[in-house]
Amino acid sequence: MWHMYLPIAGNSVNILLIFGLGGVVGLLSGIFGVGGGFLMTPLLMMFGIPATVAAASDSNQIVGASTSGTLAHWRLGNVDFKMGFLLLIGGVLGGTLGVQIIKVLRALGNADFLITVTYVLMLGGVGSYMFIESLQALKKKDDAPAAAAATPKKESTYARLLKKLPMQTRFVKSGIEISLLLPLILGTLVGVLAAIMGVGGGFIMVPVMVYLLRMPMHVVVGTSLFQILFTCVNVTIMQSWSNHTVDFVLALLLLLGSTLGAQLGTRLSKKLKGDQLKILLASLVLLVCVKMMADLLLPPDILLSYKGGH
Amino acid sequence: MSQKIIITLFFLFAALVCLPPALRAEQPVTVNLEPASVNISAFYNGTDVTVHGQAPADAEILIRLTGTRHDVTLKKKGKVGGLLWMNVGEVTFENVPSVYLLYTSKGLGEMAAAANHNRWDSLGLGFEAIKQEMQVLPTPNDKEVVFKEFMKLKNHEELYNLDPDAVRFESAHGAMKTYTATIHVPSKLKPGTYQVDVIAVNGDEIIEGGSQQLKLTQIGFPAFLSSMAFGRALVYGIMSVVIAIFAGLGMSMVFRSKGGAH
Repeated sequence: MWHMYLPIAGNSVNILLIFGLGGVVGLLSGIFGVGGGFLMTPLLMMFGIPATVAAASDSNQIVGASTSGTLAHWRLGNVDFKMGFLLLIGGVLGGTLGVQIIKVLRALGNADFLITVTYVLMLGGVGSYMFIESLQALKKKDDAPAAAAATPKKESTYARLLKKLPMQTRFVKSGIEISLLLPLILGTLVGVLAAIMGVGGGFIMVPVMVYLLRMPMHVVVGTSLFQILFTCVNVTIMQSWSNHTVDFVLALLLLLGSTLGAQLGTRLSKKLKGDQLKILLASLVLLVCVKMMADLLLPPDILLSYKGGH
Repeated sequence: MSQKIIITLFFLFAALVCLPPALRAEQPVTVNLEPASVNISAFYNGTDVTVHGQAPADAEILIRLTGTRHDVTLKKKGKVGGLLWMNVGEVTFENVPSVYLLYTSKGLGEMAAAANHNRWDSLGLGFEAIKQEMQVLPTPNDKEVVFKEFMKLKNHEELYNLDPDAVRFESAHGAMKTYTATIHVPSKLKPGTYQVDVIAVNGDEIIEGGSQQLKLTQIGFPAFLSSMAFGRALVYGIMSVVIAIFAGLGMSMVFRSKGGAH
């Protein structure tokens, strides 16, 4: 009664369980602007869904969640479409490049080891930096809000370098003026990394937008969702077309929950300050990092697994 | 003339008496499946199939459900640098059944111990037989460990299982009795045709019984989606994306109207 059969995954799932899972992941999308594949794919695999089908159906689901989330953030004035498009173009280029790079890496052998260790170190590094930085910012504000605002920031080498780049443009929604090339280059880099790591890239993109593009956190969340929407439309169609791994029943059950979760997440996000959002996301990133380390260090239950997973 | 008939009858009678018990015509093992085929519809969550039939009154019964044999390539995890558990390569298991469910009326070991060894081995029953018949490539140093892990994986998927004491008997009528067992067909079992064999064993005597085929077919919505996903993959992909976008738009509209009311 409470189960539905997934024709592509070739298994049954509990409707409420999948709906709930979609809701939780959609909530995270709405709050932080991440796709949530890091959470969804392993959980779906735990419920007996093949890794390839789990990942492909998840991107189909994210199309729904990010449409819902992007619209909600757009109403709040939190989507920088210009920035989003530039990052997207970079992302597509980077993704294509990354797929080629990974072929070379695999041919060299030992690629999986290198990729996994890099991924864990990156999550740990980015998570820790974000955590400490936002913690300090929160403390400063509590101590002396006026003094912090009054002190002019010293210009870093990075900031001076940014000003030297050609094609300086104003991004109104983000309230910044930077070179057009910067989002293109950074988008490409994130695309390359995402393709090599086999992840959606939200986790990498959000810190890049916050620290390297210096966009306000709320605009980062909305713009990231906008960008994820397009990436996942592309992935869903490509996966259905060439690998037949999208299970529409699974995606539909998930997105019933996730579109709702994304709306609630946006409302929650609105109530939180930028630094509070950052510190929460940093904690989430660190949690994923710890989970990955545990997977690497603890002996697995079964030494064999089907191909196509992580 | 009548003498000839008497002599013929005598020889026929003698032949019947002297025939080995396994060939006695009055002791066939019958096999019935209920239902005889399984339909996978939208709310399917695996199902139970009852296997029942007639068997000699003093026999034990084995019921085996198997799928076609194929090769499976799996990723193998191992320790890298003495510290990290990672995928370290691939292992191919050749000639393994896609599913192997064995339901018996008595422990398999007990039956094997009582039976004629050569005859028992030729039936290829139990997990040990699967191990004998499969090939592992590349040949591992630790075939025993690799096989154990393979069984763990298949067992976890409910696709390989042994269940002693699963076959029940009703009281015997004369030389025959009725056996019944309920086979749980896991939802993970793919559409296709599977073989159900029933074997009767009496001490060292093995009376091979009958077989039936169990067919699993997708119908209705799952069948429609599968044919779309594989037959019109591009349309299916675009449709999936469009419906997801509309779901997002729909949910957004619901929330806006709610927001407007405040």
